[in-house]
Amino acid sequence: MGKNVEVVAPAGNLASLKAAADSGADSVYAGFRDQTNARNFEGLNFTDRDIEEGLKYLHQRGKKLYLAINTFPQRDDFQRWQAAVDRAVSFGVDAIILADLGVLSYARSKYPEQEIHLSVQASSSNHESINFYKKHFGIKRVILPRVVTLEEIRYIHQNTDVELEVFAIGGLCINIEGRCFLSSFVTGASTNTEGACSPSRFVEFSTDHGGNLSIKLNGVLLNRLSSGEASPYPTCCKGRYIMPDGTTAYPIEEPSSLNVLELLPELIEAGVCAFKIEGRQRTRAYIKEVTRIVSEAIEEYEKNPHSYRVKEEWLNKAIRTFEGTTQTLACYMEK
Amino acid sequence: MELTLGPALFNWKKEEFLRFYQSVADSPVDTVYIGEVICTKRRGLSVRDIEEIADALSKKGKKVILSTPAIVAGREELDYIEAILALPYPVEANDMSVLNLAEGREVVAGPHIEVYNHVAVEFLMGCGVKRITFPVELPAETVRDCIEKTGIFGEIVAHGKLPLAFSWRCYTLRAEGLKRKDCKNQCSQWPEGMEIKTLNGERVFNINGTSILSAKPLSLVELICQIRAMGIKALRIYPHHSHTLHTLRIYKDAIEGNLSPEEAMAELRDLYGGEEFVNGWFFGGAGKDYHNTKIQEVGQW
Repeated sequence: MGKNVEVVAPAGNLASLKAAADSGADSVYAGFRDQTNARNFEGLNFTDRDIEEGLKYLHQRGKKLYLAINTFPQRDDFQRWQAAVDRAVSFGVDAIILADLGVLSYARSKYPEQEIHLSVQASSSNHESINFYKKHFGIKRVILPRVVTLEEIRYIHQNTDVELEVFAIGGLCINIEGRCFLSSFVTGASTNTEGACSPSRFVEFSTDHGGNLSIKLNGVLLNRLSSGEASPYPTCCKGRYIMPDGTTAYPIEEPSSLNVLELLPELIEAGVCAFKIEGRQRTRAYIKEVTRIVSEAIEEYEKNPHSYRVKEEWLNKAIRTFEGTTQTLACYMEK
Repeated sequence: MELTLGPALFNWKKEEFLRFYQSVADSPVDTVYIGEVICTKRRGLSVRDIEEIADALSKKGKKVILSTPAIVAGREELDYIEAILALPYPVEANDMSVLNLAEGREVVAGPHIEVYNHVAVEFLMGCGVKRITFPVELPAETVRDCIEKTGIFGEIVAHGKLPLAFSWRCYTLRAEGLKRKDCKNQCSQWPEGMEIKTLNGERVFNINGTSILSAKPLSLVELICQIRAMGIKALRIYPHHSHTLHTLRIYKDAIEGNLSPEEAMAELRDLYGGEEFVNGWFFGGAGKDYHNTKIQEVGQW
């Protein structure tokens, strides 16, 4: 409590929301149980009653709830997204996280006072774009796509007064969010419209006699693993492919997870005001663990910025949540 | 219906670009988009070269629209956009930054602006945008709906390897174990990108600098009648290292009715030596798939 820099924790259900709040999160982000948000996985997300209860739980503790309505509606579906905005506002959520220009237009004209955050799905990665969204929709905060360096964050901060939120820990999109159609190309289920990358109904695992595991997405082979090789949730970007010279490689991205603990002071000094933890689809135990680590790290930093060091304990705990993958700073240091 | 030539997504050498656009000047294309969409580190065409080519195309009666990057993260890309905006031609925005910088200028929305519904189209029209190339993943039904409800001048991508994703990472350099700071324009050695295959040999993706394209090209030539009926006013062909001019001719003939859609497709298949085309997104399916249009016409297209 009382941190200046905010920890924004994910929650796919009420139990996770409470666990996040009890582990040091300053705010929690969640979505309705439908395609209106970008983590539309089976069995995940909030009913209206959950939202009300979660909101009460958080507000009693001086914490906030942000609701993501961050997918892109098509045709007559637009009305459902409008209704989602109406419901979110009527519940009194602290902010709605939006991406679509149409939904943004609707929300801003109907609810001029509502706090709006610009979703990472809007692909807004520079101050001119951010200021455009501010001018037209009065966004208070932007969640930056994972394509900007520390130096670029500093430059953005110098040129806008919109708050900057970045991803701290968890799964990593290597392509700019909102403009990545790899999963859509292979499955037909668009991440932007349906709210899920590599939906589980298209994923097929099969093991041969030698114990090798094949992973396919809608019939397209993404990887073949020998027994003992770990794999994160299969997506096109973390697949293994044959290169032109005949060798096999992970040409897009190794199976790795983002971890910025090491860069926390630099990011805060560059102008980041909130750290987002990825993983609304992950377990309550994961959310609890990771929220605790990031909160402690920020508290440690705020106590004494100069003596901040990443604790061995945080690192070990964080690595255990990475599903057997390595960790990376993505492009925060260099491209 | 207009026939347009999209911006080149590949990094060719300057002389190749110059030769290419010289031949485009005499081609049947109506509108030419030119400018860097993928990566501003590319040195194939400078902004000055772009201006000279634009002037030459303009003199030949082509409408010229200048394209801009699909990923804008730092000063380098913003400087590029400003340099492009200084030229006396309409500009294609592929990032919202362009709309912020281009006030008062003629701006069109490119395929990398996320436009999925008529309310988004209306918003852009309110910002002065009079023409939109819709995202490549949109099903025909959605494009039709957007046009019907707003009357926007709508363009769709009709032919070529499809741009699927953009990153801060250069995948071409990564394949050599290098980072972006090691860039020596290595991507120019792959004039149609670097195809990668799945472990069982399927062609799905193509690595092209900081972007990923589809390995197989899209072709909607068989669907020209349906496209016209949807109210679409322009068809975009992406430039490739080979066959582009011939492809433009085939599409022009199909648009003008000199070739039936079936004849046009047969010519394309001949030209591309039996290449498999994709069109799945048009029908609301997986982009990688090819739907036989004869069967689709009976059902819902």
